[in-house]
Amino acid sequence: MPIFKSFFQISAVLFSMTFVSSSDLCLDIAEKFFNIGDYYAAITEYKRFIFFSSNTNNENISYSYYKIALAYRNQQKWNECIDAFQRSIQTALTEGTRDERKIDLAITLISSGNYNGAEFLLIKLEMFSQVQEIKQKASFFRGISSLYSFKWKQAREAFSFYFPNIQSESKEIFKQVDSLLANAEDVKYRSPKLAKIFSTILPGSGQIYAGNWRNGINALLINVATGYLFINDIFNREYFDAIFNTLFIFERFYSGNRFNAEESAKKYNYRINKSFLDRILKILSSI
Amino acid sequence: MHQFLSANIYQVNYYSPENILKFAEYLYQEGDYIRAAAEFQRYLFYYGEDLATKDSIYHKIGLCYRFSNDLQKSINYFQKVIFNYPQSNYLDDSYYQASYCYFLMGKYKESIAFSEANISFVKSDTIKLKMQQMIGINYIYKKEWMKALDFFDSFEEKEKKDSFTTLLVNFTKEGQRLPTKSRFLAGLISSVIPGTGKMYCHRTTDGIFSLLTIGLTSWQAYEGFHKKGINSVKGWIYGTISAFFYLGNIYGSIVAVNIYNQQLENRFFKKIEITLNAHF
Repeated sequence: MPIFKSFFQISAVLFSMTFVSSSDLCLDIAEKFFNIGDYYAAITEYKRFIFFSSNTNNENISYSYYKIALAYRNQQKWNECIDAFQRSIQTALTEGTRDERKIDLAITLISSGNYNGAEFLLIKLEMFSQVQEIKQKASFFRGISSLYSFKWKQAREAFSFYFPNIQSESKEIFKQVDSLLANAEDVKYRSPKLAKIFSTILPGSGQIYAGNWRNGINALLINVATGYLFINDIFNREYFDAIFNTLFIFERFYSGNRFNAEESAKKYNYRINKSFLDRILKILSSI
Repeated sequence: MHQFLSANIYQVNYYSPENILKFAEYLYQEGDYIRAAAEFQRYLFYYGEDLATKDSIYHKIGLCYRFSNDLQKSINYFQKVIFNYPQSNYLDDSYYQASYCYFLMGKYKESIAFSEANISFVKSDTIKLKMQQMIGINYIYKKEWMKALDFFDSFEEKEKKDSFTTLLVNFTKEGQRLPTKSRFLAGLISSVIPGTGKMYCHRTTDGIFSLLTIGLTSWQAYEGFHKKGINSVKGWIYGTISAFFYLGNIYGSIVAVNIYNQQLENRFFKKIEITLNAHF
């Protein structure tokens, strides 16, 4: 998805990957497979290394799980990726490495759309990590996660912790992002419930309220026409026809109109949010 | 940020045949069957024709493919054991596994034919019984209830008393008595009173709605023709709609029976599947 592409670009620019320098044959082969994008073969070789090194207290075991996780992530196999990250965290020898891997796990959770899981993990890192750099990274990615779930206030709060603590050239970027987030917070959204109520009272008005004029006028005309049929039947004392027209024609268009009003409001809100998200991500990608 | 990690001070010979085999077994235990199969094949490649335990490796590869649902490949490997190693300890199980693979592929006829043709070569009584039961299961899945019952009836007394055989006989009897609905009857009653075919399949709301729709459109057609005679536009429009709904409802009732029967059978076979998974 293009939205994730820009997210990965940001991640890659901000935090370069950990890499291994090893004289171990198996690990070297695994690295080569990984680098040429043959992730299936790379995973096999990392697993082989892990199996034969399981009795040793070796940092490369955690590293291998980490690379397996990345390989799965590149294949978008989220469950396997998350499992490998967790194993990588469990087998890491230092607190710093563990925290680094937790950041990567959080990135994966964001990529897989599990924003709540990512935020929970990142908040824990912000609270308990001993390393200032990790805390900053955690707040940055919590900000990103909040952006994707359109929680502007939380995103603003997270970025306000990250940006003031980094180099001065990013201060301008922070100002732009903060200003956009402030605008996003002040946006007047359309209430789907209110849109539905409007369209219940006057068909089409909910859609117009949600900015969907074409659909609104269309709904109004159709409902007026079918409503007219009903009233005409009543005036002509054709009660059976009136019931039939109400049940099978008017009811259908009237219910559809109420449903569409609600959907129009939701779409309107999503469009606004998406536009803010794209603009903020564009600014962040320039870091 | 670059993090250099320490080199592995132990230099294991990762690609020695023994270690490849160990790694393959590890992958098999981990449930990573496709990778395990590849490692077993690599192990075979190292040894060529000299390997004494080649049959056990073929058997293991067959199992790997079976568990990863690549059933035709699985059968090919079990057949390698069957054709090339007549004295193998894995021969009996290979016969059984091949038969089971045919069953899993939905090739019930082939599974029965294979089991019947080879059961006499199986030495183990346990596996022989399993293959017999497999034949019976295939009859059940073919919905040939009488054949299945006759087949189970032909078992020896000791085999009949086996708890799994008893369970299969019960399943067969249950399958025979499945309360399926008749398509003909559904079509017939729907053509007399629209909607009743659907009600017969326990889709009451659907049936009532069909009855109302057809009833109301027919009434509109009748009213149109009654007022303006044969030239009534309203009569012709509603008459056509009504006829369309009427025929559609008959067809819909037959489809409803098919769906009902299918769901009933699916539930029944799901129950058997769970039992099979627990047993085999």
